[in-house]
Amino acid sequence: MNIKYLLLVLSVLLIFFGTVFLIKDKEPLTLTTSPYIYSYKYTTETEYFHVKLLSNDRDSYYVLQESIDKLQLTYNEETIPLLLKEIKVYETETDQFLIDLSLQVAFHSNDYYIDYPQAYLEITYTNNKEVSLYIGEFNFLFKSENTSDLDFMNLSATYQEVDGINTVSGIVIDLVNKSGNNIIIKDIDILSSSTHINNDYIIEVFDPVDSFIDMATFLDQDYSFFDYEKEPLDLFMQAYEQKKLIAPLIYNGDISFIHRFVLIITYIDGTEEKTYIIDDFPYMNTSIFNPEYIDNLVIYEIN
Amino acid sequence: MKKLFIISLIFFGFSLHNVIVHAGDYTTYQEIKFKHNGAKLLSQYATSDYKDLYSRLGKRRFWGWRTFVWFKEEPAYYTRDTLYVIINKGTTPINEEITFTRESIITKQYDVSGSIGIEVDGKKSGFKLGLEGKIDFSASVSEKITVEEKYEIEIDVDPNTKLEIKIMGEAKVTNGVAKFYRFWVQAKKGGFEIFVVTTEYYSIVKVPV
Repeated sequence: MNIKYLLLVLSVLLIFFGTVFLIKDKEPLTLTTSPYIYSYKYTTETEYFHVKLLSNDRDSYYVLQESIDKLQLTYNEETIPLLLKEIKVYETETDQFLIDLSLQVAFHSNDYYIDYPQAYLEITYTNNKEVSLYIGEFNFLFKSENTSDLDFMNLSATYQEVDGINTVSGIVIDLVNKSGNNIIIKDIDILSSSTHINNDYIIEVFDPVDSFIDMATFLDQDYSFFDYEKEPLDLFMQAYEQKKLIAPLIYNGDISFIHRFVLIITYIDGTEEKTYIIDDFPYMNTSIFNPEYIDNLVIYEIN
Repeated sequence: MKKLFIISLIFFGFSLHNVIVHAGDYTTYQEIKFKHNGAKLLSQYATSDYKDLYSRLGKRRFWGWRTFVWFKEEPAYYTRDTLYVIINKGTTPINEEITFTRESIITKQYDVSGSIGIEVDGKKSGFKLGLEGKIDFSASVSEKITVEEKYEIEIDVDPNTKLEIKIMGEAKVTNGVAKFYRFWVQAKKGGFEIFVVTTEYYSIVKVPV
């Protein structure tokens, strides 16, 4: 009797501890962002921008498109509504899944600039829960008019590691003055509040530029990507003249990499100041979740 | 003993089958240049290279791979075909909305020589017989499924002008040789290569026609 009783107790204990051992606590859902500089100009109604996240659960309620009630971008008290076209989920070689949100600004304008130095993607779910994710710097330009005085023949970039991350280090542009007038280029800039063209170091070049040359080597002097020294430019261009320029970048914010951006060239034609805008172009294409971006990642635990 | 001999023959027979090789697209790229002098692609291995590298593989084994990695994650730059071309044959400038789609994530491609095989399973490919797991290789591949992203760009194109979007890229190349043994019998041997595209770079070129 005692042996049977003992065996019964041991069996119960074995089942209990076995069950406790086998049932692991379910890990909380995590969403990871890699803050990025978004610099876009409205092109067509079919154009979308993408916000990419990592998640440890591809089937969670919080990554399903049908769970999302509302999406908006916020910066301090400012807010813009967004339209969600779709969410795509991709496997990765890690235990994380890539969540790709295709988004649009939910209104249209002929002349409007959204300039959020620190943008948060605010997601409201159908269960009324709100999640706010830091996605970086968001710049979006609606501008229906553009000048035809200026144009470019070739447009490329130079690349090197800045602060440990491979990024665009400079722009190489063959700028053409198509107007019949002499003009003065006053500024070349990027549609960004933190990343700019360093006007002081723009130089005219006459030979092809190696895309992977170190900027300091090219300029034959020390060059810092972080010293903010932006000054007005005074670049004279005769009527119908073409100039090949190399324009180094400066990174003045927390994010020291950029892949795709709008260029804005300001010039004086007679007494009138005008701007020429070059649509956002993807100078480079890589994953913002590569290991080199690890210090840039922001991880949110969703409970 | 007889059974073992028959099984051995069957395995040996399998190893004599011809291998259909599906090399990665990178073998057709216009130009691949290594950052460091001396590095080579598998397709550039000389017969003497194979002889030297096979001698470094070590002794036969009962079962499985012996591998030797010659170049490990060597940085390389490449030039690909032109991505987009438009020619304005008209007499007035056009304002063109260019649309193109690219894979936005790392892609891994493979090449082999000799009797080493590549297998394709859906969108994924890799070496046969689990060779990749036996290679001392830790390329920082964080994502293997490619994500497509569509770009829309508005550009002016003058009359009699051709606009091209060019692609360059950066990759990490790992290659070497391997032999596969079954019952101490060499069943496969050849070279292998893994080409990991880490970044693509784009530029716009306009030329008069």
